[in-house]
This record gives sequence, C-alpha cells and structure tokens, in this order.
Amino acid sequence: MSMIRRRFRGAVLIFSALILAGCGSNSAPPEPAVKTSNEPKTGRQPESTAGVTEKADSSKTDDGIGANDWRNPAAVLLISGEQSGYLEPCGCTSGQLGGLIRRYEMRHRLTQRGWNVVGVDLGTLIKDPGASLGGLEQTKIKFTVALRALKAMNYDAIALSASDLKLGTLEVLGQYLNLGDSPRILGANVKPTAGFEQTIVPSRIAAAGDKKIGITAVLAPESLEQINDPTLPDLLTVTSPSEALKTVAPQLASSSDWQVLLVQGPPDLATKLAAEFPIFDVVVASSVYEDPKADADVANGGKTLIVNVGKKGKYNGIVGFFADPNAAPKYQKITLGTKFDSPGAGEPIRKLIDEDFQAELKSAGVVENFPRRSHLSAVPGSTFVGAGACKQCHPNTYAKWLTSKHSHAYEPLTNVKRNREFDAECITCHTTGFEYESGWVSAEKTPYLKGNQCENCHGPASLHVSDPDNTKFRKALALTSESADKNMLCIRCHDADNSPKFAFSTFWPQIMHKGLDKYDNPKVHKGLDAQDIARLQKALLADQNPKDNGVRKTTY
Amino acid sequence: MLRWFLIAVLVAGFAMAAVIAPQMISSSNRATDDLKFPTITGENAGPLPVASVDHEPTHAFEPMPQNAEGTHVWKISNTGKADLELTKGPSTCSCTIANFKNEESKYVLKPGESTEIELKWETRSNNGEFKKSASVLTNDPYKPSIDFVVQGIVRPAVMVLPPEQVVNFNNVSNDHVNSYDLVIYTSDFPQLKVTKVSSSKPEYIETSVQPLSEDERQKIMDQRAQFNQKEPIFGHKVIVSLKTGMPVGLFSEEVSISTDHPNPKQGPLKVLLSGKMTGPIGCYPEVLRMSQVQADKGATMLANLVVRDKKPVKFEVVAKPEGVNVNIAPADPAKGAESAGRYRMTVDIPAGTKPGAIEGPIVLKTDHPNATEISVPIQAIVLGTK
Repeated sequence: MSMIRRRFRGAVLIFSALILAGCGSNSAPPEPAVKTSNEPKTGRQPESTAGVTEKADSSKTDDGIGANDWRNPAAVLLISGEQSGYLEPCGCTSGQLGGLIRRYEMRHRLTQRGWNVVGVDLGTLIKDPGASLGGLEQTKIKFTVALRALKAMNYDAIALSASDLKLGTLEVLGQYLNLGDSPRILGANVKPTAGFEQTIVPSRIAAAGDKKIGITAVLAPESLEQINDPTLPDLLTVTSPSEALKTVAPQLASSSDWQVLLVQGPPDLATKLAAEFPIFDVVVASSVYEDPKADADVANGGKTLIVNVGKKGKYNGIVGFFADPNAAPKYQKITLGTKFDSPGAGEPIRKLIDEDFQAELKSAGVVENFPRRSHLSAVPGSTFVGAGACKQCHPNTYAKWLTSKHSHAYEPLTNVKRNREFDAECITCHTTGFEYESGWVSAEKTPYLKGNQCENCHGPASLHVSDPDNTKFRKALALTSESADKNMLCIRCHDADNSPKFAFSTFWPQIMHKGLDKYDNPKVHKGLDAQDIARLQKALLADQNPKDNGVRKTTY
Repeated sequence: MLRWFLIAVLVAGFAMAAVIAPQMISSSNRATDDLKFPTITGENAGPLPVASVDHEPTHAFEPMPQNAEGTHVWKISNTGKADLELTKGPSTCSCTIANFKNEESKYVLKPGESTEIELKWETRSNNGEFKKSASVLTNDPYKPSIDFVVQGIVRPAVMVLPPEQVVNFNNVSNDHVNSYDLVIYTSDFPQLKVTKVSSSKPEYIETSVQPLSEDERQKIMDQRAQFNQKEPIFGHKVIVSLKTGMPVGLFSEEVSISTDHPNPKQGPLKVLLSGKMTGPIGCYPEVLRMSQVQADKGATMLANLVVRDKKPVKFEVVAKPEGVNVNIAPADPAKGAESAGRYRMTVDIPAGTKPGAIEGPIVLKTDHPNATEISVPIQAIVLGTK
C-alpha cells in the first residue's frame, strides 16, 4: 500500500515538474538545462517540488504569471532590478522583452489574483549617463520617470546603487527627496551626511495583508570606486555590509515575518552574505548575464532563496510566502513578453512614458541643447550639409541611398501615438550629425539632416562640396568598407538591442555603393555655393517624401 | 484487487499525461508558431526514445577576441528503444545539426544512433560577458527540450579602462584642472605603443601618455584575476585633463587613441568624456519636475542648494512662477559645521492652484561673490479635479 502511494506521488512529481518545464518555454532564449547551484536541496524545499502537494488552480493559467500551484500565498514579493534605463522593451526592433508598461500590467494581474504584493527593486534604474546615447540631461529626466513609475506601481523599496549614483550624488539625493514615504531608498551600510538623512534608510517593514516583510539592502563599498564624483565622499559614508547587517538583520527578524536582503554588488557578495546571515528568506543578487536562470539558487539548506532577475528589465521574479510555517517560499521567474500586451494595459505607465516623459524631454530641449563636439576625422571648418548636396555629383549613389531604409529613418519617430522626435536616444540613430557641431538640431532648424545620411559615415562634407577636387577634403571623407567595419561605424546604431541580427558581411551588401557614379561631367568638378546647397537641401525633402510614392530618378 | 487495478490505471494515466502535457504547453508558448514539436503516438508510447548528451550542455569558453568565431560540438545519442526525433528550437546563435536540412526539418535517430550538435557563435563587437544558447526539441518525454549554452568573456585586442570607454566627470568646477587616467592595455603584444592621441576640443583637453608602473600593472592583473583572466597585461596610461576655464554647461567630448597593435581589425579607441561644468552654487535636482499635481491637493517639491566652498550664503527669491511659494532654510542647522553650505529649498504649489502648466525659473539672488544669481527651472502640470 505504502509503496503504491510512493509510486503515485512519484508520477505526480514527474507530471508537475514537466508542466513547470513546459511553462518556462517562451520567446526568451532558453535557460541552461543544468542547475548551477551545488547546494543540496534538503530541508525546506523551494520551487516546484515544494508545491506538488498543493492543487493547481487552473483558473490562473492564462494571465501569463505562472505560479499556478501557489495556493493562497500570504504575501508575494515582486522583484525587479538592473533596468539600466530600459523603460521600454530593450531596443527598437519587434519581439523584444521587458518594459515598464508590461511590468505594471503584470503587477496588476498579481493583485487581481487577490495576492498581497510587496515590490522591491535592486536599483540600477539607469545606465551610466556618460554611456547613454541620451546624454546626461535625458538620463536625469529618465531617472525621475523611473522613480515615478516605481511609485505608481506601489513599490516599497529600492536598493541604493552605484550605477544610479553616477548621475551625480547630489542630483540623485535631490530626486530621492521628492519620493515621499514610498518607495524608500535602502542602504544599511550607507550613511548620508547631515541634511540628507531621510533620503537613504537602513531598512523598512512592508505590510502585506496582516503579514510583514522586512527589507534591507547593502552596497558593495568597492562599487563606488567606479564613480568619478568629488562630492560623493562628503555626502555618503559607506561601511562594511557585514558589519551593518549585524545590527539590521536581528532587528528585521524580530519585527517581520519574512526577511529580504538586496545586494548591490558582485553576485559573490550576495552568496557570501546569504551564508553569513541565514535569517534572510530571500537574497536578491545582481546578474552577470542579461537572461537569468529559471530557478532561484538556494542556500542554508533550502532556507534562503538567492534570486537574480537579469538585466534591462526583461524579467521579474516573484516569491510567494505562505502562512504555513512549514511551507517554503516559492520562486517564479516572469518573462515580460507580449503576453502582457493587451489593449489599455499599463495605461498610467504608457502615459508616463509616451506623454509625460516625451513632453519633459521636449520642454527641457534635450535634443536641441545636446552638448556637441567637433568631428574628429573632419577637416576643421567642415560642416554638415545633408545628402541633398551629395546628389549633385553622386546621383546614382544618392539614388541607391534613397531606396534604403537609412533614407527614411526619421519617419518612425514622427508617429503620432509614439512620437520620439525629442528623445535623444532615438534621434542619435535616426538623424545625421547629431552630437556634432553643425549636425542635427531639430526638424525645424535642420530638416535636411533627417534620416541616416552619407555624412554619418563619411563625416561633414561642406568643404568637399564647395571644392570637390581638393584632395585633402576628399581624403577626409574617403571610407572603405574595411575601415567602416574596423572602426565599428555601423555598430553604434546596429547594436545588439536595436539590430540583433546585424552582421557587417550580410548588411553591407544591401547598401554597397562603390563605383556607381562617373565623374567625367565637368559640372561635378565645379563645386557648390550656398545657394546651390540650399536648393538641393530643399529638393532632398521632396525626394524623401515623394508624392508619387516612388523613388525619383535623379539626373543632372 | 479492484483498488490495485484502479491505482494502476491512475498511474498509467498520469504517465501518459506527463508525456503529452508538457509538449502541449510548451508548444503553445513557443516563440514561433512554425516549429513542429514532435508528437508522441500510440506506437511509441510504450518503448520510449532516450536523448543522451555526451557532456555538460553548458560550455564555458576561454576569453575570445572580438570579431572571432567559435564552435562547440556535442554528441547526442539515442539510448532508448524508439526513434528519437530532433527539431531545432529557439536559439540566439547559429546552431547546426548534422543532416538538418532547414529550420523546419526533423532529424530522426534510430535507437543506438547518434549525431552532432554544433553551436557556432560570432563575437562581433561584443565586449565583456557573452552568452548564446540554442535549444533542440526532442520527443524524449523526459527531455522535451535540451538547451545548449556557450558562455564566456569577449574582449578586444586592445582594451580600455574604464571598459565602457566613457568617462563621466559628473558636475565639476572649472576653477581647477580635472584629470582622469585612462588605461590602454593588451595581453598579447608586450611592446604595445600608443601612437596617437587626439581630442575633439584640444584647446581645453590635454592628454599625455605614460607607461604603466609595475604597481599599476599588477593591480589591474589582480582585478582581472578575479574574473578568471590570469594572463599578464601590458599597456599605458593616457592622462586626460580638462583645463581650467572650460566653459560652464554640459560637455560631451571625445578622445581618440591609436596604437600599434598588429591586429588588422583593431581601429582607434574612442573614449567619450562627458559631464557638466558648474559654478560655485548648485541646485539639486537641477530642475524641479512634477507632472501630475492635483489642483485640490497641491504638492511640495524639495531641492538642495549646495555651496561648494561651504561658506554661509544669504538667498533672496527675486522671481518665481505665479502662485508658487518658495522657502529656503539651512538643511540641518543642528549639525553645525557638518551641514555648512547646504540649504533646503521647499517649493509649495498650494491646494486650489488653478489647473495648467507651471513653468519658469525660480531666480535667487545670493551674497556669494562668484554666484550672485541662480536660476532653478520648475516644470509642473496641475490637473483639475475630475
């Protein structure tokens, strides 16, 4: 009898495990098949095996969350982090994962299940403003928007991160001032200087129904070494995470039902602290790779889940806590894919990103006032003139360009519902000469630089078009496919997010334009004056938007 | 006896469900609908195929250069007693399976047969952690999907510290020189030389090149060793200095560094220098933004005014948007010298403010000799009561 029961239980185990394996399959890259944790799964078992004795609720199967075997969790911890500035799904190609609109919808569906949700974020809301294509000013606005979004999603806590502090310690503390009571910025081992005390606190207790979740965070002191901000040492004092937790962890244990630690630092630090402070039920670690594993790692004999949710906000995690003291917390990775897209989904966040954020970028003049620099490979004094001026002597090359998507790259930014004409991150790859002196400023001031034109690769050409036979000017613009590849000219826009299938060897032939023109007409050696250039710039706009909906044949 | 029979039927039922259910669920969730997941028929529900892979499906490769191609091969065998069907699943890299004719085709291994799964990946211009994966779908009910993963570090022939090739100077004052030491190094060309350094603003950006000292070199190697990169490195420091008097405001400049590294794919290294040149008093956040203030509730915004030389300053509000109240007080007077030079500005939009946009600067006059006036932009939208 008992043997049969064991066999029966075994069949159920296989069945449940396979169902869970099947649920994990989606548009995301597959996960490693082998768990990396060497921790023996003894004692309280997290994950699927802990749930086999509970009956799955089939009514929950179609909301995209998964976790269908979670029966009445007393509290659910929503975990996000390392969004790195990706308010929207990463990249502008279709089929990408992530985005705050989907996250809002996902959280909404969690609450629709009747679950008490507590939201925590590991921080790194933004990318290093120096490395961001949008620049410092846009990143500041983006940081504000990201904080507002987390507030709109009722987050309880955000870990202080070195990456966010790259925005400028004073700016970041100034923005935290306006968060109010929630979410709180946590840093158990970070002490702000006088006048800023309320901006960062060691811990907080979040209410989930009649239960309490104690949350704290630590910041690896060495992570501040990467910040080049002379004001930081005066404003923040950072001590050892272990020392700080020796005080904070017992306080949390005595005042909450479950304890959560967010570790802003190397993943190894999270593992070390999980072992050192076994009171924590969940330790949130940073990620090495963009795509996290499906499962949480476990420590302390199954007592502690070590969770990471990847990078760029493509995934979130949820941990279910149960009232039964013998029921282990369970973890579920959630992929933010199209299953969270539905009409009207995430409307408050859509408004925040599509309307408020864009209006603020426009109002701040982020694109128009973008700091510009000289073009390093250009002859001093040369300015951007637009492809129209190139047409005069390179008509066939121009015609070839006009048939390419490069020539129409500006159009998607003018979409009425998702206008991005004032978003520097988009403008940088959809216009010509942005970031450089005399390059793109606005549709009103530089309409002849719409789209991805010749000068984005060849450099500003005014001197060449006015004196075409000057070899110094010609040489400055000359470019071979080999040097374009070597200098990674294409990669700047055709990067892993926005052009995941890009390979120079397959993309280059689509726009190859060597030897298409002949220069035996004396006209091409004459050069253009300002009036010629203005006329050709105007003609370019007509060519980019032909009323006959076709590409005009260019002659001279 | 009947009870034993019922239990046996239940066990068999669950076993069948275990075979079929994951494939149905998996199928519905797959990225593309054109994949044909193998189905289990009544014929092979008895003897089952077994997919065996000859070694760990996650392959960690040694550090690779950029623009290189890697391959790794696994052998997959059918150690079961029914035909094993293999179908190409979702992947993030090129995955070739011997005898796979196209994406849709199915490859069948008879019991005892085996084939090779080859993953090819291109490092392209990736820099740092790199991971690609591909899955193979099977009709082995216990391994409906086998995920093959390759991961490791990709690095250029010549590397830069900071690896992002960006120096964020943040808010810096132009009354002194601001410098940063870039490091240019390689692990495969000991005689590496920096041949040329140029900048987009030579009148304000100075550069100089120095060989790495033994201590600096060792420190970098120690850091790399933490990431399992243990080979020696060779390189130079490129010291970038922003001269005094650089204009106040945002800047985004570029430094281009060429070396004599023989790798033909190695172009000049470009490092972006960005930040903001500031004066002696700053307001943080620099712009007060609030997009959804309810007219019947009003709102309060806070900002810190920071005096860099920490001297006491008197502020006077000389202009502000209509209907807004501004108050400035020392940030934490109880802390005395510790909070010297820090002031808290409170901006109130009172309840009952007329709906509409509040836009314009708060202008402060000060008695600081080098910053007599400060302008703090405010952007708020007050919404009417619904």
